[in-house]
Amino acid sequence: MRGVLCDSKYEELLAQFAKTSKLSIGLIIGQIGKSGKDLVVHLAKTQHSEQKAEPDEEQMTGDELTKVSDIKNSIVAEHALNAIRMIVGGFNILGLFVVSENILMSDNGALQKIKTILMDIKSTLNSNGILYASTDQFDNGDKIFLNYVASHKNFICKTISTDPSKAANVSPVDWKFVSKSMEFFEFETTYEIATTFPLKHTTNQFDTEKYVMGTIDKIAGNLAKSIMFFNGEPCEAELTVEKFVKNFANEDSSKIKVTIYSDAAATPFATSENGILTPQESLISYTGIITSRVYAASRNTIAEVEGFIHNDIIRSITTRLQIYYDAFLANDDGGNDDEEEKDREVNSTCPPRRVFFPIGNSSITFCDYLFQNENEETTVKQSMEILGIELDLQEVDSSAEAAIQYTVSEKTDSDNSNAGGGVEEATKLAVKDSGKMIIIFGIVGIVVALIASVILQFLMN
Amino acid sequence: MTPNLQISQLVINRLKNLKNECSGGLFGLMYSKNLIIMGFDLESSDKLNFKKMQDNFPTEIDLCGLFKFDECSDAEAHMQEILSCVDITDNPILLKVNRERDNFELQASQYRNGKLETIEYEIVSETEIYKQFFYARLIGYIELAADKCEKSIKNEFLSLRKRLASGNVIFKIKCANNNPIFFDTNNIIGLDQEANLSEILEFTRVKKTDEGGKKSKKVEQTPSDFSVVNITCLLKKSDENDKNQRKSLNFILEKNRLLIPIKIDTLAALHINTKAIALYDILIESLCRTLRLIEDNMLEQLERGKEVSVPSTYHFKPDNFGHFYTCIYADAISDDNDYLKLKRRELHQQLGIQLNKPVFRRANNYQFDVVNSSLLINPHVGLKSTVDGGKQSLVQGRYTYHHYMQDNFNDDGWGCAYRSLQTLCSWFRFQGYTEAKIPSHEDIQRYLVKVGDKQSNFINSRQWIGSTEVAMCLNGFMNIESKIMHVGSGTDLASKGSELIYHFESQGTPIMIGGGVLAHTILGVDFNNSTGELKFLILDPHFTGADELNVVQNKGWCGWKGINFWDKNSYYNLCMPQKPVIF
Repeated sequence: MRGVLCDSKYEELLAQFAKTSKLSIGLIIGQIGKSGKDLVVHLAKTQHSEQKAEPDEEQMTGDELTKVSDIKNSIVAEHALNAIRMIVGGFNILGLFVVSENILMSDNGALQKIKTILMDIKSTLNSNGILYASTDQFDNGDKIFLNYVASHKNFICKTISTDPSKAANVSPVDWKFVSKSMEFFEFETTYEIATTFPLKHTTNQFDTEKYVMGTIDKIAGNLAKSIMFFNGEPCEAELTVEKFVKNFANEDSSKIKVTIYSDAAATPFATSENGILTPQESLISYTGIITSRVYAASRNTIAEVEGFIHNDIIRSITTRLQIYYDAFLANDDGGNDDEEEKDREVNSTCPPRRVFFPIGNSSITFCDYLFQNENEETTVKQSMEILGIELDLQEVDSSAEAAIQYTVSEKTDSDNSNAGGGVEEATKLAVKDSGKMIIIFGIVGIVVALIASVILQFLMN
Repeated sequence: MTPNLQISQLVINRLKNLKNECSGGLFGLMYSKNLIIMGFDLESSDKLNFKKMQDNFPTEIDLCGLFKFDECSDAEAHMQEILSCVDITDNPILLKVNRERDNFELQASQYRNGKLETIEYEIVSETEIYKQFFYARLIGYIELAADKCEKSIKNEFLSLRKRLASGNVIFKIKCANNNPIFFDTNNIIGLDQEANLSEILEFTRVKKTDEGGKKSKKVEQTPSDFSVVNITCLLKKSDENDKNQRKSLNFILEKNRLLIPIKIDTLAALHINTKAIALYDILIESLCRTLRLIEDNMLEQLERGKEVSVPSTYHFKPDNFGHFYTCIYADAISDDNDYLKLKRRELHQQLGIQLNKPVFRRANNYQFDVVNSSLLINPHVGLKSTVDGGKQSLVQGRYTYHHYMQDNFNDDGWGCAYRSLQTLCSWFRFQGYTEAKIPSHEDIQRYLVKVGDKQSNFINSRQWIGSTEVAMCLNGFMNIESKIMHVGSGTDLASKGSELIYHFESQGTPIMIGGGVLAHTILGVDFNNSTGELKFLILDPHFTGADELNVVQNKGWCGWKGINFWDKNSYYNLCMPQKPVIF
């Protein structure tokens, strides 16, 4: 039988949800156990409100779910997407919890509904770039479903298959709330990227985005061929973290430094025809770092940790570029409201940087992404909205990655494209500025015309 | 501290053979308390070549002085020039060569406090050099984006070199026990920090005996070439600088830039007693050296015309040279292009090599893979002939021994001529006349069917071929013409001494001989033209055993044979390949 361990404080959290809502649904976040129990590290309730972006929480409590069939799949799937972007590599969304007044396990309709939600989550996560969100290779598509029954103050846990050809039905899971907190070891690395890839040429913004996102696959390919050193030394793939940590007993064993070296056999991207090199029409040049922190339990092997790091780095790149393009395209469309529009105009000049925050469970940190003009307050807000984690401002660690300093004047002064920002962005800003100018000229023109007409009117009289 | 001066025997041999030249730069390697002179270049009065050539020499072999022939007048001027360029010693060496008629004298002195002091020197044999020195071959791959202009290419190469030199790279050596050795900035992982480089050589050598199941022939035998240790270059992708410096991920969309593939392939000469910990810096210098060469090549291409092509590295080790010399050629420029011909002509002159054979063509690229394979190279070396007062004339240059049962292919009883042909082909490969691969039995059969010499059922058959087929194939695969010599019987071969001497002196190619049911390869003759005694150096393709030199030599599979070796009742045809006149 599949087993799950979860910190008992989350049982209290579920009880809390039961008190405030008749029905709540949320994500189970944790590390799947290849052999052994799954480790759940967080439960994140889905804010089931139409105005999900609205920060006023009190308003949400009024818009309450009462039955499973009322749950909107798209909202949960959207929540899963937002959440996976904040979860570091090695952790995934393992399933769903539902807090209900009555037991759902015998309600076929409810189970069927949960299955469709899980399927929608899966398809949303799979269609948003390389996030390594799928755990199918370990659980065969069987996701955990935890039902906390308010009336009994008790819970039942089963798996639900996301395979459309199978029935929703369900195998039991041995879910245990444990009071002893789980031990995780932190592996930190900074992946420096200074790579240029040829890019298919296009003038269409949507195609550019598609091609840019396509290069992440190449980065992943090269990263997969890299070798990693742990605390400065190569490690046997099958060594467990427990044994590894013992070898470094004298050092601070809770944080392990990982260094990545690219292999000499990295895939070539430069192309030539009969030996002749022609300038590439379009290229994408990546610079800067991706700070990665992943968490492994003592049972994990070094090979698994390497996988976590790989997934974390790629998940982080995908997320940054997606958020960047979301903001960029929203900006092009005119945005929703004035304030956000103004924010994004500056934001979308470069991808956001990664910040970390504790989730209050073990030493684990999750992450958020901040545009240049955003600050830790944004993360405090985001972590509450998406993960239900209440943070102090000071708890947000924004020191891992320095923001790219970008100003228009810097760009025009410098013809060295390594300085950050880019030609494309510089032009874009100019276009935006000219847009503003048109408005200003327009307003001035109207005012002048108005004054002129008033004067004319006055003279006529 | 004055180092002991050593001079490679090969350098002395080459100096002896020089004609009309008067001065040049000396290139040597410092190790322990010694300076060994490994090579030289020739300077003409108007150009100083040594500055340009430094990067083409293997890392660690650096300019260390000057040689001049007595009659040379402008040596003093060169000495001043060279002095300012010598980095590896404070006391550059001057070799004075005195050559009068057959007399050859060499006097060494060192430049100390503005004066020349005569010093002693020691001559080191070729074999001893192969025992004491080995080469590290560093392999890697980097891509560099640059605008197609001089300024940008220079900038990008400079920043790449800076990046690599500032500790952003580690080196990995594969070992027999599967535990690689890593070299970091000031740390060796997997090897004692105090170890000598000889231990690295041992670690990699064990592998050869393990893999092929063969005995460590290269260790026991007198070495006939350098050992080469392959090292891979890994780029550090983790930025461990000050946190404030770590800018978060950004990307720039760019237009119209070159993406230059840089295939790192560079050599460093190493003495076995050098401390392993010193290797990191040597390899970094090696990286920088090859990057400078590649950059120069790119800039030269830009200067010459609109097109630039992929720069590729070629390592050459001319016969009797004693060290490698590296060139970068642009992929789109063929060897027969006038520009490259001119470059090669200059190179021949600058290194004192005659223009009578290819030395720096692409096909001359040192065949590391063949050298490291199980195939025996020149198994005749070391065999003694016994013709009293005879004149020996042998194959010139390298070839590999091809015989029955190799390549997991059973051709016992029918494949001898095919194997002899393969040996002939290997000679043309090694000598740089062609880049064509050595044909397999099936390649040979298909070709003979294609040109109409055989019926289609010949393919995959076990039918023999003779000397004329060998000649056809040499022409078809390697573009080589051959002469066919007909000999009425085995006894008649006794009268061919002079002709064969002439062949080996003028052509130096191995000869395939077919007669009766057998085919052999003749590698040389030993002929006394007053007594008429003649012996043949035979390489026998009928050998079916493993490629072990002592077996091949002791059991006579490669050996000197008298005239009785040939069948009196058979006629023979000799396929005598003629080398093309190219350089």
